[in-house]
Amino acid sequence: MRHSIICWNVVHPVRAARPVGTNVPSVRRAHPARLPGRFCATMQASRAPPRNRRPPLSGKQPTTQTTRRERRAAERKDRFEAARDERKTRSNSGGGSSFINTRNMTILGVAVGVLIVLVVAVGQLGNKATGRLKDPAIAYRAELLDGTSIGKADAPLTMEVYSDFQCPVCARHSLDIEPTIVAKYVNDGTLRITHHDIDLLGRGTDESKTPAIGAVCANDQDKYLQYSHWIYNNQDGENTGGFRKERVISIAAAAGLDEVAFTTCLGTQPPADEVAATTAKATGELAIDSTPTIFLAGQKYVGLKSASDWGQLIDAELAKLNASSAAPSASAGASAAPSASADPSAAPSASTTP
Amino acid sequence: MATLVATGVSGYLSVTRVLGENAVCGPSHGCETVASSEYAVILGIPVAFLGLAFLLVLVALAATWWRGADRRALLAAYGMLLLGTLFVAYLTYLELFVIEAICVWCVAFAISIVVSLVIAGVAMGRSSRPAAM
Repeated sequence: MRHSIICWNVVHPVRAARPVGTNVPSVRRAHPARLPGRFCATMQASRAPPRNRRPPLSGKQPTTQTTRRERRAAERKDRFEAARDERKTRSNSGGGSSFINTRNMTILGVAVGVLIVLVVAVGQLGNKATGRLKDPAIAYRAELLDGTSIGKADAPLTMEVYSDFQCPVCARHSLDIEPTIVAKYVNDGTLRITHHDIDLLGRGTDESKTPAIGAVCANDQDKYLQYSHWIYNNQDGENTGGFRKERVISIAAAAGLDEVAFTTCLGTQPPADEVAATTAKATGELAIDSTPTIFLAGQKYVGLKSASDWGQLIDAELAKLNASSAAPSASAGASAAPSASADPSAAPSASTTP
Repeated sequence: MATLVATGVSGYLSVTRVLGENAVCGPSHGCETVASSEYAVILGIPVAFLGLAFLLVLVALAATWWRGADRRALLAAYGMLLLGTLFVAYLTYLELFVIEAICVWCVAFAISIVVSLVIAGVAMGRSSRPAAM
């Protein structure tokens, strides 16, 4: 028979009363006085404790009255409860790691969201707030520029574009689609594009008319396309002051126009009359009620089309021209320019999406 | 389901963007106006593409949580949805007060994101509740 003395410190009597994972006797039973302090107990053992034996998790000293099966069952129950407690603790903290929990993810989501929105908003609305103008960075070959047109005068195909400077879809056509068409069909002399600026969206204000008059004045300085690209690239809503006279003058100056001459021209009557006449013809004779409206070889197309769609339409018109010039009876000088004689029934089925 | 709806919307808008066509929008032409505006592109990337990428990650997280009951995936999805909700709020502000045009697809997208956030919040509340003893 062996005797041994085991001592332990009790800081918190209630917790220490159930020393999980040890085989020391319960403090509560050994020392009824539940006060902090150092306690010792004398233990007796009939034989040396076996090595590698898992201690009962319950902390309860096995008694001679319990069978081995009961002890094992108690151990299993203790292990199960300990695992459940651990799971519950992890669950309440929000996840499997110390960082990923509800509180941190809420803070992170909101903080990153606010940061991204701020960065994007400053980038997008900064120009609006500071009044800075954006350079369209589009340049066509100078020898192809001819007033409001671009392309050779003897090009077999013509495209007539009717736009309103306040129309965002017109801006997309002018800034995104047209450069591709120019690169593919205008530079090689196949196509000539002519622009007409009308007042369709002004609705009682001067915000479509003023930039259109400015376009006439820009044409006087041989800088029509530079001006129109700058105007489109600096749209700022419809009829909300984006194209008030002072801002249009600023945009023209940024586009490289002579500001004094442009301002003087803007106040004269002939350019205004020219815009009024173009608008009257577009809304009357040509029945245009939406922009952009584009005539390709006399066929009318309304709305935005991709550059590849335009490519297909232009190729189809070219094929028609080639077929008619190859025919023996075809007249040599067949014109594909829009005219009153153009046959509307020949319009491709892919046309006109308002 | 709400996330899948949002994914479908952004997928459709991405396809129309790639094809250079206008989204079917009814008579209002709001989608055309919004898609043509300068705010439809961030750092040279169309917003529709960004939305699609965001939602593909979100769907992957939702699937991870659904299949493996991994609460971390749910939490990550919740964080992303908070971020997404703030961003769609900004985009809706742009539509209402800057572009002054309403795109029904954008509205559907925004509603789907907010509904997804609410569902993620409810799911988190349920999963954190201790099991009945």
